[in-house]
Amino acid sequence: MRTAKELEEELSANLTEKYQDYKSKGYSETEAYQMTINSIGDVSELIDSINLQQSELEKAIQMDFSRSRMVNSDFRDVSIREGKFKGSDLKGSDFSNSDLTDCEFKSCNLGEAIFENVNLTGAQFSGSNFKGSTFKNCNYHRSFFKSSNLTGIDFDGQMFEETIFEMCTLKKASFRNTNLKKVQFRLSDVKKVDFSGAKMDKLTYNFLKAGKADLSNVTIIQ
Amino acid sequence: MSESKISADLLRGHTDTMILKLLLAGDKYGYQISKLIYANSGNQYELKEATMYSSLKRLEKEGSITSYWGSENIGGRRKYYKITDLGKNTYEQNKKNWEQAKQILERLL
Repeated sequence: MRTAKELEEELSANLTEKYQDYKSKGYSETEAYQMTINSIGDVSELIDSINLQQSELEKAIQMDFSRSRMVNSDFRDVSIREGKFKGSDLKGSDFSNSDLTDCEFKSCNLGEAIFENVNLTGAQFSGSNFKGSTFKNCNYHRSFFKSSNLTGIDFDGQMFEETIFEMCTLKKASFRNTNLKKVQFRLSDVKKVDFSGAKMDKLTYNFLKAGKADLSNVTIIQ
Repeated sequence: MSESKISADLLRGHTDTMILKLLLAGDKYGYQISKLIYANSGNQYELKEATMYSSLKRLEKEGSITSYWGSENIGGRRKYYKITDLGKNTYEQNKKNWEQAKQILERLL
Protein backbone atom coordinates (compact mmCIF):
# COMPACT_ATOMS: atom_id res chain seq x y z
CA MET A 1 0.00 0.00 0.00
CA ARG A 2 1.22 3.47 -0.87
CA THR A 3 0.69 5.06 2.54
CA ALA A 4 2.74 2.38 4.27
CA LYS A 5 5.52 2.66 1.72
CA GLU A 6 5.70 6.43 2.05
CA LEU A 7 5.64 6.23 5.81
CA GLU A 8 8.56 3.82 5.69
CA GLU A 9 10.57 6.23 3.56
CA GLU A 10 9.70 9.16 5.82
CA LEU A 11 10.52 7.29 9.02
CA SER A 12 13.80 5.92 7.77
CA ALA A 13 14.98 9.36 6.60
CA ASN A 14 14.12 10.90 9.96
CA LEU A 15 15.64 8.12 12.02
CA THR A 16 18.84 8.22 9.99
CA GLU A 17 19.14 11.92 10.67
CA LYS A 18 18.49 11.38 14.36
CA TYR A 19 21.16 8.66 14.47
CA GLN A 20 23.67 10.99 12.80
CA ASP A 21 22.83 13.70 15.33
CA TYR A 22 23.48 11.36 18.26
CA LYS A 23 26.78 10.38 16.74
CA SER A 24 27.85 13.98 16.18
CA LYS A 25 27.07 14.62 19.85
CA GLY A 26 29.78 12.09 20.65
CA TYR A 27 27.84 8.88 21.22
CA SER A 28 29.32 5.66 19.88
CA GLU A 29 27.63 3.91 16.96
CA THR A 30 26.14 1.29 19.25
CA GLU A 31 24.83 3.90 21.69
CA ALA A 32 23.47 6.09 18.92
CA TYR A 33 21.75 3.11 17.33
CA GLN A 34 20.23 2.00 20.62
CA MET A 35 19.00 5.51 21.45
CA THR A 36 17.46 5.87 18.00
CA ILE A 37 15.66 2.55 18.30
CA ASN A 38 14.44 3.43 21.81
CA SER A 39 13.00 6.69 20.53
CA ILE A 40 10.61 4.89 18.20
CA GLY A 41 8.30 3.84 20.99
CA ASP A 42 5.22 1.74 20.59
CA VAL A 43 4.92 0.93 16.91
CA SER A 44 1.56 -0.76 17.36
CA GLU A 45 -0.27 2.57 17.50
CA LEU A 46 1.33 3.53 14.23
CA ILE A 47 0.34 0.26 12.63
CA ASP A 48 -3.18 0.76 13.94
CA SER A 49 -3.38 4.14 12.28
CA ILE A 50 -2.35 2.64 8.94
CA ASN A 51 -4.75 -0.26 9.25
CA LEU A 52 -7.50 2.17 10.09
CA GLN A 53 -6.84 4.06 6.89
CA GLN A 54 -6.87 0.84 4.95
CA SER A 55 -10.18 -0.35 6.33
CA GLU A 56 -11.77 3.05 5.85
CA LEU A 57 -10.56 3.02 2.30
CA GLU A 58 -12.15 -0.35 1.73
CA LYS A 59 -15.40 0.88 3.17
CA ALA A 60 -15.30 3.92 0.95
CA ILE A 61 -14.95 1.84 -2.16
CA GLN A 62 -17.98 -0.31 -1.43
CA MET A 63 -19.81 2.25 -3.38
CA ASP A 64 -23.26 2.27 -4.74
CA PHE A 65 -23.44 3.26 -8.38
CA SER A 66 -27.11 2.48 -8.76
CA ARG A 67 -29.28 4.20 -11.32
CA SER A 68 -26.44 6.28 -12.55
CA ARG A 69 -25.60 7.14 -16.10
CA MET A 70 -21.95 6.41 -16.53
CA VAL A 71 -21.56 5.97 -20.26
CA ASN A 72 -17.91 5.54 -21.30
CA SER A 73 -16.66 5.69 -17.72
CA ASP A 74 -13.06 5.01 -16.91
CA PHE A 75 -12.83 2.30 -14.25
CA ARG A 76 -9.33 1.22 -15.23
CA ASP A 77 -7.06 0.00 -12.43
CA VAL A 78 -9.63 0.71 -9.72
CA SER A 79 -10.70 -1.57 -6.94
CA ILE A 80 -14.46 -1.62 -6.45
CA ARG A 81 -14.85 -4.67 -4.26
CA GLU A 82 -18.49 -5.31 -3.37
CA GLY A 83 -19.59 -2.33 -5.41
CA LYS A 84 -23.20 -2.21 -6.41
CA PHE A 85 -24.47 -1.24 -9.82
CA LYS A 86 -28.23 -1.37 -10.31
CA GLY A 87 -29.81 -0.07 -13.44
CA SER A 88 -26.62 1.73 -14.36
CA ASP A 89 -25.85 2.66 -17.92
CA LEU A 90 -22.20 1.72 -18.29
CA LYS A 91 -22.12 1.47 -22.05
CA GLY A 92 -18.61 1.61 -23.44
CA SER A 93 -16.99 1.78 -19.99
CA ASP A 94 -13.48 0.46 -19.54
CA PHE A 95 -12.90 -1.83 -16.54
CA SER A 96 -9.44 -2.99 -17.57
CA ASN A 97 -7.10 -4.11 -14.76
CA SER A 98 -9.78 -3.42 -12.18
CA ASP A 99 -10.79 -5.51 -9.23
CA LEU A 100 -14.54 -6.19 -9.29
CA THR A 101 -14.48 -8.94 -6.68
CA ASP A 102 -17.97 -9.61 -5.32
CA CYS A 103 -19.49 -6.71 -7.22
CA GLU A 104 -23.13 -6.83 -8.14
CA PHE A 105 -24.45 -5.62 -11.48
CA LYS A 106 -28.23 -5.72 -11.83
CA SER A 107 -30.06 -4.61 -14.96
CA CYS A 108 -27.05 -2.78 -16.27
CA ASN A 109 -26.14 -1.82 -19.77
CA LEU A 110 -22.59 -3.08 -20.28
CA GLY A 111 -22.73 -2.96 -24.06
CA GLU A 112 -19.33 -2.33 -25.65
CA ALA A 113 -17.74 -2.37 -22.20
CA ILE A 114 -14.12 -3.52 -21.94
CA PHE A 115 -13.07 -6.17 -19.43
CA GLU A 116 -9.36 -6.85 -19.80
CA ASN A 117 -7.36 -8.40 -16.95
CA VAL A 118 -10.32 -7.88 -14.63
CA ASN A 119 -10.74 -9.77 -11.41
CA LEU A 120 -14.36 -10.93 -11.59
CA THR A 121 -14.13 -13.31 -8.64
CA GLY A 122 -17.59 -13.74 -7.17
CA ALA A 123 -18.97 -10.93 -9.33
CA GLN A 124 -22.66 -11.23 -10.15
CA PHE A 125 -24.28 -9.96 -13.30
CA SER A 126 -28.01 -10.25 -13.75
CA GLY A 127 -30.38 -8.92 -16.37
CA SER A 128 -27.49 -7.12 -18.00
CA ASN A 129 -26.59 -6.46 -21.59
CA PHE A 130 -23.09 -7.22 -22.88
CA LYS A 131 -23.63 -6.58 -26.55
CA GLY A 132 -20.31 -5.87 -28.21
CA SER A 133 -18.34 -6.15 -24.94
CA THR A 134 -14.76 -7.38 -24.83
CA PHE A 135 -13.55 -9.98 -22.32
CA LYS A 136 -9.84 -10.76 -22.18
CA ASN A 137 -7.71 -12.54 -19.62
CA CYS A 138 -10.20 -12.15 -16.74
CA ASN A 139 -10.55 -14.16 -13.58
CA TYR A 140 -14.03 -15.75 -13.61
CA HIS A 141 -13.74 -17.72 -10.40
CA ARG A 142 -17.28 -18.07 -9.01
CA SER A 143 -18.55 -15.32 -11.34
CA PHE A 144 -22.27 -15.54 -11.92
CA PHE A 145 -23.98 -14.43 -15.12
CA LYS A 146 -27.76 -14.57 -14.88
CA SER A 147 -30.40 -13.69 -17.46
CA SER A 148 -27.87 -11.65 -19.34
CA ASN A 149 -27.30 -11.06 -22.99
CA LEU A 150 -23.92 -12.49 -23.95
CA THR A 151 -24.67 -12.79 -27.65
CA GLY A 152 -21.55 -13.05 -29.76
CA ILE A 153 -19.11 -12.60 -26.86
CA ASP A 154 -15.63 -13.94 -27.44
CA PHE A 155 -14.32 -15.77 -24.37
CA ASP A 156 -11.61 -17.59 -26.32
CA GLY A 157 -8.55 -18.95 -24.55
CA GLN A 158 -9.64 -17.97 -21.05
CA MET A 159 -10.01 -20.01 -17.92
CA PHE A 160 -13.29 -20.49 -16.07
CA GLU A 161 -13.67 -22.03 -12.67
CA GLU A 162 -16.96 -22.52 -10.85
CA THR A 163 -18.47 -19.93 -13.14
CA ILE A 164 -22.23 -20.03 -13.60
CA PHE A 165 -24.20 -19.00 -16.67
CA GLU A 166 -27.91 -19.14 -15.92
CA MET A 167 -30.64 -18.37 -18.43
CA CYS A 168 -28.18 -16.38 -20.52
CA THR A 169 -28.34 -15.73 -24.22
CA LEU A 170 -25.08 -17.13 -25.55
CA LYS A 171 -25.97 -17.16 -29.22
CA LYS A 172 -22.81 -17.13 -31.34
CA ALA A 173 -20.68 -16.78 -28.22
CA SER A 174 -17.30 -18.42 -28.46
CA PHE A 175 -15.39 -20.46 -25.85
CA ARG A 176 -12.69 -21.78 -28.16
CA ASN A 177 -9.57 -23.20 -26.47
CA THR A 178 -10.93 -22.34 -23.05
CA ASN A 179 -10.32 -24.24 -19.87
CA LEU A 180 -13.58 -24.97 -18.05
CA LYS A 181 -13.72 -26.39 -14.55
CA LYS A 182 -17.00 -26.94 -12.70
CA VAL A 183 -18.66 -24.44 -14.97
CA GLN A 184 -22.43 -24.58 -14.99
CA PHE A 185 -24.53 -23.64 -17.97
CA ARG A 186 -28.02 -23.66 -16.50
CA LEU A 187 -30.99 -23.19 -18.78
CA SER A 188 -28.83 -21.32 -21.23
CA ASP A 189 -28.99 -21.91 -24.93
CA VAL A 190 -25.61 -23.41 -25.76
CA LYS A 191 -26.51 -25.08 -29.05
CA LYS A 192 -24.78 -22.48 -31.19
CA VAL A 193 -21.82 -21.82 -28.92
CA ASP A 194 -18.38 -22.65 -30.26
CA PHE A 195 -16.44 -24.87 -27.84
CA SER A 196 -13.83 -26.15 -30.26
CA GLY A 197 -10.49 -26.90 -28.63
CA ALA A 198 -11.91 -26.42 -25.11
CA LYS A 199 -10.72 -28.50 -22.19
CA MET A 200 -13.36 -29.24 -19.58
CA ASP A 201 -14.07 -31.44 -16.63
CA LYS A 202 -16.86 -33.98 -16.48
CA LEU A 203 -19.33 -31.72 -14.70
CA THR A 204 -19.04 -28.98 -17.29
CA TYR A 205 -19.25 -31.57 -20.07
CA ASN A 206 -22.47 -32.98 -18.67
CA PHE A 207 -24.08 -29.55 -18.41
CA LEU A 208 -23.19 -28.80 -22.00
CA LYS A 209 -24.26 -32.19 -23.24
CA ALA A 210 -27.66 -31.75 -21.60
CA GLY A 211 -27.89 -28.40 -23.38
CA LYS A 212 -27.16 -30.14 -26.69
CA ALA A 213 -23.96 -28.20 -27.29
CA ASP A 214 -21.62 -29.27 -30.05
CA LEU A 215 -18.87 -31.08 -28.15
CA SER A 216 -17.22 -32.82 -31.07
CA ASN A 217 -13.92 -31.08 -30.63
CA VAL A 218 -13.39 -30.86 -26.85
CA THR A 219 -11.10 -32.65 -24.42
CA ILE A 220 -12.30 -33.98 -21.10
CA ILE A 221 -9.89 -33.43 -18.24
CA GLN A 222 -9.89 -34.50 -14.60
CA MET B 1 14.31 10.56 30.06
CA SER B 2 13.40 12.09 33.35
CA GLU B 3 9.66 12.36 32.98
CA SER B 4 7.61 9.72 34.74
CA LYS B 5 5.31 7.34 32.92
CA ILE B 6 2.22 9.18 34.15
CA SER B 7 3.24 12.66 33.08
CA ALA B 8 4.28 11.24 29.70
CA ASP B 9 0.78 9.83 29.33
CA LEU B 10 -0.72 13.19 30.27
CA LEU B 11 1.44 14.95 27.73
CA ARG B 12 0.82 12.42 24.99
CA GLY B 13 -2.85 13.34 25.01
CA HIS B 14 -1.84 16.75 23.70
CA THR B 15 0.46 15.64 20.92
CA ASP B 16 -1.85 16.94 18.19
CA THR B 17 -1.98 20.39 19.75
CA MET B 18 1.78 20.53 20.28
CA ILE B 19 2.40 19.68 16.65
CA LEU B 20 -0.18 22.20 15.41
CA LYS B 21 1.46 24.92 17.50
CA LEU B 22 4.86 24.21 15.94
CA LEU B 23 3.40 24.22 12.45
CA LEU B 24 1.74 27.60 13.07
CA ALA B 25 5.25 29.03 12.93
CA GLY B 26 6.06 27.37 9.60
CA ASP B 27 6.25 24.07 7.72
CA LYS B 28 8.31 21.36 9.32
CA TYR B 29 9.37 17.76 8.80
CA GLY B 30 9.03 14.95 11.32
CA TYR B 31 12.41 14.92 12.97
CA GLN B 32 12.43 18.71 13.15
CA ILE B 33 9.15 18.54 15.09
CA SER B 34 10.49 16.00 17.56
CA LYS B 35 13.70 17.99 18.08
CA LEU B 36 11.72 21.18 18.76
CA ILE B 37 9.42 19.44 21.19
CA TYR B 38 12.41 18.09 23.10
CA ALA B 39 14.13 21.49 23.15
CA ASN B 40 10.99 23.53 23.92
CA SER B 41 10.14 21.23 26.83
CA GLY B 42 13.48 22.13 28.40
CA ASN B 43 14.83 18.70 27.39
CA GLN B 44 12.23 17.04 29.59
CA TYR B 45 9.86 15.46 27.12
CA GLU B 46 10.83 13.25 24.23
CA LEU B 47 8.03 12.56 21.79
CA LYS B 48 8.27 9.00 20.55
CA GLU B 49 8.37 8.59 16.77
CA ALA B 50 5.41 6.24 16.73
CA THR B 51 3.29 8.68 18.73
CA MET B 52 4.30 11.58 16.53
CA TYR B 53 3.64 9.81 13.25
CA SER B 54 0.27 8.46 14.25
CA SER B 55 -0.62 11.99 15.31
CA LEU B 56 0.60 13.39 11.99
CA LYS B 57 -1.37 10.79 10.03
CA ARG B 58 -4.48 11.55 12.08
CA LEU B 59 -4.14 15.32 11.63
CA GLU B 60 -3.59 14.86 7.92
CA LYS B 61 -6.65 12.69 7.57
CA GLU B 62 -8.91 15.12 9.40
CA GLY B 63 -7.57 17.91 7.17
CA SER B 64 -5.78 19.91 9.87
CA ILE B 65 -2.47 19.57 8.06
CA THR B 66 -1.25 18.70 4.58
CA SER B 67 2.07 17.21 3.55
CA TYR B 68 4.50 17.47 0.68
CA TRP B 69 7.88 15.96 -0.13
CA GLY B 70 10.87 18.26 0.05
CA SER B 71 13.47 18.36 -2.70
CA GLU B 72 16.55 17.30 -0.71
CA ASN B 73 19.11 15.45 -2.74
CA ILE B 74 21.49 14.39 -0.01
CA GLY B 75 20.14 11.66 2.25
CA GLY B 76 16.51 10.64 2.23
CA ARG B 77 13.70 12.88 1.08
CA ARG B 78 11.90 14.74 3.84
CA LYS B 79 8.18 15.01 4.13
CA TYR B 80 7.06 18.43 5.26
CA TYR B 81 3.84 19.25 7.04
CA LYS B 82 1.81 22.42 6.64
CA ILE B 83 -1.04 23.61 8.84
CA THR B 84 -4.37 24.34 7.14
CA ASP B 85 -7.05 26.86 8.16
CA LEU B 86 -8.96 24.00 9.71
CA GLY B 87 -5.81 23.10 11.65
CA LYS B 88 -5.53 26.67 12.94
CA ASN B 89 -9.11 26.46 14.19
CA THR B 90 -8.44 23.09 15.78
CA TYR B 91 -5.42 24.53 17.54
CA GLU B 92 -7.38 27.51 18.92
CA GLN B 93 -10.15 25.22 20.08
CA ASN B 94 -7.77 22.73 21.73
CA LYS B 95 -5.95 25.55 23.43
CA LYS B 96 -9.24 26.91 24.84
CA ASN B 97 -10.25 23.45 25.99
CA TRP B 98 -6.94 23.04 27.74
CA GLU B 99 -7.20 26.42 29.53
CA GLN B 100 -10.62 25.41 30.74
CA ALA B 101 -9.48 21.95 31.88
CA LYS B 102 -6.47 23.46 33.62
CA GLN B 103 -8.69 25.78 35.67
CA ILE B 104 -10.94 22.93 36.68
CA LEU B 105 -8.01 20.66 37.55
CA GLU B 106 -6.38 23.36 39.64
CA ARG B 107 -9.57 23.64 41.66
CA LEU B 108 -9.93 19.90 42.01
CA LEU B 109 -6.38 18.76 42.66
